[in-house]
Amino acid sequence: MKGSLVIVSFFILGALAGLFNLIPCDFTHGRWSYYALAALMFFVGFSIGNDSKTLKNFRSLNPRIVLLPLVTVLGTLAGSALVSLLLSHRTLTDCLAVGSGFGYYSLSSIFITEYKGAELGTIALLSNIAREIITLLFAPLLVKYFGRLAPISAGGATTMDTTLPIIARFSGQNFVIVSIFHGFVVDLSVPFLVVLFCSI
Amino acid sequence: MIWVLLFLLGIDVGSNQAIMSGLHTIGLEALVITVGAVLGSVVGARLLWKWINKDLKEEARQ
Repeated sequence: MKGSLVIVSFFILGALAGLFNLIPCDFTHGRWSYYALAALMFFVGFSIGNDSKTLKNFRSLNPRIVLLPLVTVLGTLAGSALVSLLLSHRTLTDCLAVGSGFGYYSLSSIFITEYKGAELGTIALLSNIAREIITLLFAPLLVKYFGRLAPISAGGATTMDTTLPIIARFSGQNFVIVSIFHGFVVDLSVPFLVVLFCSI
Repeated sequence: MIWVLLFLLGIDVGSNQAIMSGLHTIGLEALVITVGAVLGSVVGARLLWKWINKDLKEEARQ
């Protein structure tokens, strides 16, 4: 949670800097954000490849539960597609791109900004931060009405780090490995799905 | 690294008049998409949970 706050405050600082023209305008038109994105992708790949424990752990899972990341992805995309009917001025692919951030707001908002502009990028940022916050706040209710897997699905890509403690508490310790595995797979799918929906 | 990127996005947003003046509608849209996405995924999770539990109960009976 503290890490998220730090990241969000950088966004707010940047917004204030832009609002009051503290930084020369041509700075934002450069290729800086593209290079930074490429570097970020390297670190994402590196951290996944470097963590041998997650790779080992998922051999011990109940075979049916392995479907959970798929269920999360399909459910999220279906929900986002339905919502696009309500938001008449957003296209189906816009909503799907925002939805397929799965709570991974830093990566998805940067990708979407790069492909679709800062407005949809900001929607992606807010939407995916909200997803993390909703999961943290409503985990007990989700367990009550949708079963023990629900907070994991709701948490999306965040279930191997920021929302893991809350899942361990309300779904149970048995679900920690499932949660890490789920976060790992959904995390991997984010760059692919976001880029896919941004480019069709 | 993420800090820098989010700072850059912040600059983009802060200096964009259209976004700053429509911030509340953007926030609302973001929230609507999130609620849809979360509901879709937890409904899926519920179906999977029932399926797994049904299997466990049948195993217990045998």
